[in-house]
Amino acid sequence: MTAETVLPDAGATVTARAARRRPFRGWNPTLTTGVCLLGGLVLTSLVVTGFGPYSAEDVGNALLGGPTGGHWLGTDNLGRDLFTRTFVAALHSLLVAFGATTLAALIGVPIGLLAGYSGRRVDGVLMAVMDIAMSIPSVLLALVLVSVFTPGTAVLVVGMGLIFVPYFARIVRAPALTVRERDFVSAARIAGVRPPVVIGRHVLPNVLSSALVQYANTAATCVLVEASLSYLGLGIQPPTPSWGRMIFEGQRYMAHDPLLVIVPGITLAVAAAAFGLISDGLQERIDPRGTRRTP
Amino acid sequence: MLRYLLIRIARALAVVLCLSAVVFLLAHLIPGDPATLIAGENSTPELRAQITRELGLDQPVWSQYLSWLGHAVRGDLGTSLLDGQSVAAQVSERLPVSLELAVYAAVIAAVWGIPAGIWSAMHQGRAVDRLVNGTAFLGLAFPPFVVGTVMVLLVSRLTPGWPLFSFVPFDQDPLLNLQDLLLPAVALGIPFGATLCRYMRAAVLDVVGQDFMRTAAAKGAGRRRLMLRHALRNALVPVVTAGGLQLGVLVGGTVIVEQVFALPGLGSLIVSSITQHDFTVVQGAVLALGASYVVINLVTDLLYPLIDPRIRTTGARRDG
Repeated sequence: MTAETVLPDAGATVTARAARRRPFRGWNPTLTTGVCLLGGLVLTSLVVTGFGPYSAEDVGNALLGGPTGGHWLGTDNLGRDLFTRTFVAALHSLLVAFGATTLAALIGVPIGLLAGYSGRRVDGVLMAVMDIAMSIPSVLLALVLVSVFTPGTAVLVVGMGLIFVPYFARIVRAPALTVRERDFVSAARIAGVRPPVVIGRHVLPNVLSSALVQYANTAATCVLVEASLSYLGLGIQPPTPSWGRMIFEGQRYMAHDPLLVIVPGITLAVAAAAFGLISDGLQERIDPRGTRRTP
Repeated sequence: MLRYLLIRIARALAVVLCLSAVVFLLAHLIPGDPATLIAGENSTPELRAQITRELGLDQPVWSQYLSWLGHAVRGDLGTSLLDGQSVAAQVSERLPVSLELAVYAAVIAAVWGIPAGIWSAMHQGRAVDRLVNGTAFLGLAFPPFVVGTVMVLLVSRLTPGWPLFSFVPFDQDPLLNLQDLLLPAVALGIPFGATLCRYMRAAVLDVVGQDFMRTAAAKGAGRRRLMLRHALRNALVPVVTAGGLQLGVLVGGTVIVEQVFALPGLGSLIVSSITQHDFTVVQGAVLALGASYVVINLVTDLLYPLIDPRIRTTGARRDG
């Protein structure tokens, strides 16, 4: 028994056997629930943004009004429709999460493959750099980044994307290391296939499932970090609605109208939970023994 | 053993050094001229040039960094661009608040997360397991600032006498201080405990499946002894590492929770300095918070050999 079996940073100790098993077959309630929640959220926010009777910035006469037929969840202190704002915010939050996570994966996965495949020296250097980058609290890094550049959606995507690169590199490296020793990789190498092709054709498919789990996982974290930054006023900028900012603004009026805080809070949790469920569901497929999550 | 210690300490130093470089270089990318910020928009170019010289801003970046680092090592983090106050003084006044909050939150997290994880693992697949798992899962989905906000809402409705948004230092009135920090610590401790709970459950399940557990059971060890003596100690090893890494999330969480509860910690200093573009304060405060996180992490690394004697003999931990 080694410490690394459950270390989140050691990541996927995907055995050759587990890697061979096809990860996407059969009924998986965790995964299904997650996909349904996420799909529902995306669909609702698209419908509300596209066809809803209000826009997120529409100011009405009913200030802090409770739920009515016209405003299903009531209105905020400026008379804006809470339901509309919550789901328009969902769209922006999910876009940021997907954007940042995709960026992190696009940079992190190649680094992890390179480290795992080339071994020894390159591996040591790359992983040392990744370790150091991971040792700096991500919220602190994000704060410094947004403090330097004008806060906004683009800064959020790039900043958070860069912050989560090491997580992908680490998670991909472990299966890449084990696949490297497999016969089919040696065979390809002996047959004279060039290293980039070996990595792309033979190593990459074997690390994709781990990367996918990490993708869902990082997306959940991105939702939470974006909301926290927006709460501090350093994330998505008004007039674009965001859950974090809605909660911040709603706090002053929550004694009067608690929905202003509760609705965005719960929707935010649903989004994070949906990604979490997807991540757990995929993880169950790959490694049925236990579930783990890293930020 | 000595080798292990030296590697860990060198790594911690490298992390702090990198953090300082990142913070310093980024602060230099901030648009706007610090001299204008100090002297005001309507100042003469001569005055601005003089301030630039005094601050050393006409020097190359690397030499500015080295001189800043040199001063920082000696405890001098410069002065605030806005009010000329010593950054080190502000940081040392506020750091204890953040650390106190982080410690309480970590204690609350450990107190609920670790036993819950063990309990859940011991009843794997049963209703208790599902309940604990579901709770932990929800705990991860709600960020601390949402938990905190909802707690403020509930407390102001249910117990109107409870002090909210106030802070009394520990040395003035320990009881009031604890009361002030209880809600923030719970808001931060719930999600962190959820993380620990999940790690602990996975770790216990992992250990229970090992050969030595079967051997111990075959030798007649009772269920209690089996769990306490054989399973827990082995399961704690990965949880301590994982928990140590997660402390970064906790440190980041203090920044936000301090904002929710209006606590005068390092986090609220960072946020207010960012909005005021006071980057010497941002630099100093982020460096201090990051460095204290690295120190905490180093301490967990040094605790490691106490739990896992194999490190004492081989002097190395097998990193993934």
